[in-house]
Order: sequence, then structure tokens, then C-alpha cells
Amino acid sequence: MPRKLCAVVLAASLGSFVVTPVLAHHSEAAEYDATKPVRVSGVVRKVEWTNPHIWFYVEGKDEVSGLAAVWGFSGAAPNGLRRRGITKDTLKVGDMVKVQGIRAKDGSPNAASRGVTFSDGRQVFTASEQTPAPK
Amino acid sequence: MARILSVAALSVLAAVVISAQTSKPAPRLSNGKPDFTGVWDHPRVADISANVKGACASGGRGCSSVVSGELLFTPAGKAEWDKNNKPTTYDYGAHCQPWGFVRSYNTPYPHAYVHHPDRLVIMWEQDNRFHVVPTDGRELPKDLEPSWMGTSVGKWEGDTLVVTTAGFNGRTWLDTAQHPHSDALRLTIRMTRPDYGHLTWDLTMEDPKFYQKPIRNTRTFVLMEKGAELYEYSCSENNRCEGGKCTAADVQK
Repeated sequence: MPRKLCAVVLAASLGSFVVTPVLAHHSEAAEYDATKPVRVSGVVRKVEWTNPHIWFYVEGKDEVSGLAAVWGFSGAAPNGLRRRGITKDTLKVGDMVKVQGIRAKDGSPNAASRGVTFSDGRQVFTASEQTPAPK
Repeated sequence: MARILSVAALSVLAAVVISAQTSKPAPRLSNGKPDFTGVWDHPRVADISANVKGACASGGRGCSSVVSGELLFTPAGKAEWDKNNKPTTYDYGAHCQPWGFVRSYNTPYPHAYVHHPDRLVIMWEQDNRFHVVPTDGRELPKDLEPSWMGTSVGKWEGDTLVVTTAGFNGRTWLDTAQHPHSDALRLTIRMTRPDYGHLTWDLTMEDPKFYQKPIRNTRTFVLMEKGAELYEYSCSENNRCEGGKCTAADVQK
């Protein structure tokens, strides 16, 4: 998919990622606290394009907690991202990004990502899925 | 105006192409029965007690899961449900154990069938797991070895394949909402391919130890476009926050 079209398609699904409860396959609720949002702006230091979730690391400051660190963000699995047109070339070391997510329950500077906004305005939805939480 | 007309024409053309795809008859096996072979997009069902309409897990449209029957726990089922829903619940799936038969069908990733006259091979992208359903007329064995995915047999009723599965170890959930099942779970699935592009998967779950009544999910799967394949999925590669305790990566140390 051309990069521009890809960005448009992904942006279209981005609007709801902040408010939609997400139920990841790995019982995300056991690992992350949906009531603790993080918003980190910074530079991508490392990308792990791995199963069962990608991980990427952003050196920057969380505007919610004020904590400056190398923040780790999990995302969907590579197979799911590939079907959304997101590949390992989408996110590169050195990219300036703003990442939204929910923080790890253990208090470490890690989070489950919801979406990434690049410095040129492109938005990529990286969360595992958008599924209503169970009743 | 010309642009609007072009878009309209393209929309009509797309609708015709999709219609042609779905209105084609289902292909047939050499024994004359419907052939389910293909890669299928299914609905993401996080909760078997909730309907899903429209969205397929992998981007397609037209998938659904319709619930019928009432989800009524027995005291033993309620006790297990309450246990599962404590915040510190251990999710066996997060530790890369098999998801189980029903939960494998609920995943965010598609599944595929390879169909032969004497067997239906189910392949789930989730964990790249497979399951074989013999359709050669054999009965379900009486003494089943308890297993994660159960043991299945299939029999044709006209153009409907009826798959019966039992012999579960009771260690999986029916969904990520953590609805439990016991080792007494017995599944009956009625599968039909009403046209080329759709598969109807009608699941009845009976588990008298945990549920007072059977629960039914009638689902529609949509054939993925030509060329679509299952992708690799390896569960245990990089579980960095397994069990709620994260390990620092080298760039974080």
C-alpha cells in the first residue's frame, strides 16, 4: 500500500483508539492499567519486530507522569500489523514520534501502545486490536 | 461531476465483482460434498455471550457471531468464573499454552481449511496450530484422552458437515472474557458453505458441569481475497511483560 494511502487508512481508524477499551489476547488487563495513560514524545531508540507483540523504545518524557526515560511500548503482533499495511519499515530508529498508550502495572517505564504520531503528522494505530471489553 | 460519476461507476463495478465472488456456488470435493478449503476471515469474538456484526478480524466485512441460548452458570461454573475474574488472573494464553478449540476461533487472526473427502484440516493462524477432523465415518472414541483442543469427528448431513468435539482437559477458556469450561465440554458445529464466499459455522457448546443450558454462537466467516495466506505466529518469542512484570530491554538499562 502506498505510504500516503496507508497513513490515511490508518488515520481513519485512529480516532477511537484513545477511548475504546482494548482487550488484547494476552489478557492485557493483567499487564497494563487502562486508567493510567501515557503520552511520550521522543526519539525511537530500538524496534523489535517480534511475536507475540512488537516492542519499540522511545527516549523521551511522558507528559502525564513527567517521567523521562527510555519508554518501552508493546504493539500488535507482526502478522496483525502486516494486514493493516504496517511493516517493520514503518517505524525506524531515529524517528521522532509521539506515542499514546497505557502504562505497565508494575510501574516500570513500559506501556501498551495505542497509536504513534510521526513528526510529519502521519498516524499509525499500533494497538493489538479494538475490541470492547467484556461485561 | 465526472469524478463523482467515475467513483459511482467504480463502486458499482466493485459491488458486481464482490457479488460475482459470493454468488458463485461453493466448490465441491471429489465425493460431491462442499469443499471448505480456503483462508477465512472470522469475527473477533472476545466474549461468546455478545453478538458481533459486520466486522471481520482481519479487515473484511460481513462476518458475524449471533448468540442464542442463555449463559447460565451452575454453582461450579459460577465459582470458576469468579475465580477467573480476579484481577491477578493467570492467562494460560499469555504463557503460550494452547488457546483451546473455541477460543482459537475467536482470535484477531484468520484461520484456514484444507479439505479432503476423508478429513477436514483446520489451521489457525493464532499460534500456528492445526487440528484434524476425520470425516471417514468413524465414531468419536468412548475413552478420550483429555487434551487442550479435544478430539473431533465429522459426519455429513446432506451438505452440512456436523463436527463433534469432546475430550477436553478443561484448562482453556471459551473466550478472552474468561468464560470457563470443564472437561465435560462437548461441541457440535454445523458447517455449511452457502456460496463461494461465505461459510456458516453454527456452534453449540454443552457443558453440564459449568452451564445449566447449551450456549450457541452462529457465525459467518468470509473467504479472504485470492492470494491471502496465513502468516507466521510464534507466541513465546518476546513476552516482555508476561504475568504483569516487565523485564527491561538493553536500551532501558
